[in-house]
Amino acid sequence: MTAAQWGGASAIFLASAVEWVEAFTIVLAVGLTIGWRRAAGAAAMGLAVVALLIAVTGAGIEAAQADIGLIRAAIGIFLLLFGLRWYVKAIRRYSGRTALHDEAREFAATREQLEQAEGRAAWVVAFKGVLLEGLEVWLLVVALGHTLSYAAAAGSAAASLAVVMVAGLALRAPLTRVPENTLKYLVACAILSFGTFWAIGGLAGEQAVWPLGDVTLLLLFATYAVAGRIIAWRSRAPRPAVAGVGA
Amino acid sequence: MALARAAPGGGGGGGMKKLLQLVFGDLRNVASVAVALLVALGVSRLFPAAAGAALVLLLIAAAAFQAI
Repeated sequence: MTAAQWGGASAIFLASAVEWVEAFTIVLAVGLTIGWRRAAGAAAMGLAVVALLIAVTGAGIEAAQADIGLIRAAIGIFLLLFGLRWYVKAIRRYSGRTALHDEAREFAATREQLEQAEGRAAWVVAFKGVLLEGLEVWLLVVALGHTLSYAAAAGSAAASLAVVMVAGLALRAPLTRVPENTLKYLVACAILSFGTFWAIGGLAGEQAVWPLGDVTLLLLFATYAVAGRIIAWRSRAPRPAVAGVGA
Repeated sequence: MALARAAPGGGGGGGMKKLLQLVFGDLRNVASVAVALLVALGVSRLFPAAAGAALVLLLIAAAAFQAI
């Protein structure tokens, strides 16, 4: 390969890695909630749909580029709705307005059913996250792949996926030791961050709204994490919550 | 809240209703996101770089309103 081709392959590898890390963050978060097997299944399904789209549409990339803003906005809005609900629930638990296991006590008879429904919703979050990031990688491969062959460009993106997966799997064990509500709170902050980034970026133009690019995701996460704890602290209940009240 | 309404005795069409409530939350949740997005979109027409911050602030305000 020439220097230009190495440069192109490296650019695709690094740019894809950013997208894969974002996708893996969502899968990791969902996996901590509904289990690794189901989260991995959702991720695999998302990747399969991306592969199918590539196989079916092939060179019709212009159409996908025209619609990526709308796809991003639709998935972002979905994540905002889902994330805000989890965020509020976690804040209420931190503030003592909802006891940690109210839902289980109040609805013991239907708990399993409810958990299954919530699990399905979380599965959809992981699926859509991987689908969107996979589509963005596909656009990267096509956009930057003209400097080398299409196969080499796709290979760089696939290699980057493998590296991100190996690194991400190493994080699994330490994360499982985090307390349940903290975990749910952090998951909600992550989902809200992605939702915020994609929803308004997709509707109003990502470059105009988020001039700092993907780095903004870290700032959003930190903002939501700090703000939620402040809300919980300011709204803490004067006495322990009565079981069966609230969310 | 959503869980409470999705609980026992839901009746017919309960499965889909429960799933929708679990995904989208109650009316307050949907309204919060809709209003925040519409205002942020309005801000983006005048000051695009401020639209993201506006959305974040509105969502945090909505979370505070719902949590208290």
